[in-house]
Amino acid sequence: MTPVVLTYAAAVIALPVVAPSVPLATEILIFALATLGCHLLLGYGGLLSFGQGAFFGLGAYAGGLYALYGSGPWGANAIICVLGGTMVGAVAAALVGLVAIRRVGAGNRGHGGAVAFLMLTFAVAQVAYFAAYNMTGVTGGENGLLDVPRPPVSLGGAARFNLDAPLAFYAFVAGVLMLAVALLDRLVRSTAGRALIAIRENEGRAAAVGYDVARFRLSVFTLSGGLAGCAGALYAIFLGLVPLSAIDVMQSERIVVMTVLGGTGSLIGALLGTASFIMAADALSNIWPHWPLVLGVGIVLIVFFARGGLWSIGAGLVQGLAPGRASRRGKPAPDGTIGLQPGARS
Amino acid sequence: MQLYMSQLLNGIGLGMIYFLVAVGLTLVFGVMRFVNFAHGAFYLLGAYGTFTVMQVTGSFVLAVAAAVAAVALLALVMERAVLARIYALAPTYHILATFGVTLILEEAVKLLWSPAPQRVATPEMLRGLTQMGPFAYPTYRLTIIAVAALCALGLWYLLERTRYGALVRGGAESREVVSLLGIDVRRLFTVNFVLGAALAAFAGALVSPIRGADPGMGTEALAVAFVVCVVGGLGSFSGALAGALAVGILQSLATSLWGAGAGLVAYIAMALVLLVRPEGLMPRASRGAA
Repeated sequence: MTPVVLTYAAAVIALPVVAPSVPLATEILIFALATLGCHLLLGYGGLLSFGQGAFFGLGAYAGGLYALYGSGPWGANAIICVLGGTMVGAVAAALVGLVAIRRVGAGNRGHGGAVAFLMLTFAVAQVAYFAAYNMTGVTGGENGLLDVPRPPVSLGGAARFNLDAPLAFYAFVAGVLMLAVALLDRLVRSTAGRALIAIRENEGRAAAVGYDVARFRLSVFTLSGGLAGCAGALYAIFLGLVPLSAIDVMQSERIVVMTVLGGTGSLIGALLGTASFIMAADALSNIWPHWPLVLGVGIVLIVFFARGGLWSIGAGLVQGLAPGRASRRGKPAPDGTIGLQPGARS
Repeated sequence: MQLYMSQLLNGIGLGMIYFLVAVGLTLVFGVMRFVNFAHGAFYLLGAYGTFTVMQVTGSFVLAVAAAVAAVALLALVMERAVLARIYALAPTYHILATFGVTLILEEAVKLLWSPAPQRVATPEMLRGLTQMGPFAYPTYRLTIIAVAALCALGLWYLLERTRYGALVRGGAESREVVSLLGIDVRRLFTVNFVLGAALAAFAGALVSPIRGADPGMGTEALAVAFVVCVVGGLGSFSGALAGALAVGILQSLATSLWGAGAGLVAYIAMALVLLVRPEGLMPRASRGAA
């Protein structure tokens, strides 16, 4: 158990008590999955994707359609539902990546490639929305995909667990999240994780020592799409419907905001960003419908004054309180800033 | 035939509007290596500005001029207050900060006007159809094509034949060399940014009698402009023109073949272009030291 996994475990246990309601706590965990994907891509891949909402939405429709129409021995199982959403998100991201990641290494000067990646993923978000809006037969269009049942967890044979109770479903989502966090925590500390940091810090040098930059990035992007799709599938059976807003451009933007708000200095940032965003959105939207105005100001202020996000603010506070303990080095982007340092040119 | 002819003209008109939006984005990226996520919001404000001034004064020309001027002023303030503080940071932060500004502007539009779409009347002089041999085509749409083409010509002249243009092209080549020659690059950035914003606002103003004004139009235009920029080659003027016309015409022709999928066809075509030519249609010719 590493500190990151322990922190997540503690948060998962505390959230149903701390958050205003169990469904809100569930929503936080679901979105934390999507944010983790975006976090990985930005913090380790050095790429900002404005298209994560597309993979989230695709995962949501896939999960929703499975829950609605899945039957036979492979039907009505929450585990298959989540795996299916993950697969769909990952495959979609891999396909987009084949076009967009090629652009990253396309010989642009400076950061042209990463910028092109961002632009293309934003366009993907828009396309996915249009497609969902128009394919009313499959997605329900503007009305959304309605009456999605919540399948039970089935472990083969007679072992079935009903997820209808809010806490039961929360426990299921928590299990999925903990599994993802444990895997990601292993990944970022592995050799592959180190290679990703090397690529983020200096693409040219990493390529020169023999790393296949495009392949690493494509893998991270695929993984991030899978996480978004997984979150989407959970979201579908959580709400009992898939609203069109699950796949709109705002969804992509929300995932980016939660990622940046938390900061990419540590995997814990993803949870911090997601929890604070969702709780703030829940509280503020009841008070003032035009609260995105405040959010916009907040984002500009973060860029001005707190580029490491909440994680680095928290880490800074802890460090300030305990001056004797030097901060641990060797972590990804120790200053908590986002990749693509100005000096890191190929 | 009449149908395809008018769809082709629609596509050219749409493409010219896309060009006006995309060229500002590409200009700003070319010289400043800055991605302005708020570019779509300038287009949005151009349309809303036109709507309001038109309601007050009744004059379309005055409304367009006022909207463009107001957006240019806003861009000037934004460049000084926000952009000046973040130029030195990595592009990710440029995008985040301007995304924050986008949220502010889009929400302000919903607050000041309403989330519901607004209609802008076509100026009286330009209503009706123009007969061109056997074809009849709406006069206002023809006017858009003509005005935008004039605009493109003027821009080309500005960039290729004037001292300002030489500086812009030089700045895109190497910011350091231009500033070493004693040019105030910061001022160049400001002028460039305001010009880009004004072009986007102008596009929004021109298009408002056709599609009206609604809060989502900025995002829509931004997505298209991004695709146009990438497909045309980031920072390339001729690439933006070629990309914009291609997207506009494809979208328009696809509408007559397969209504619902029109938006998709253009995007899929662009993805194919990028698979074959990852650097875009017309990448910037020079690729010197970074």
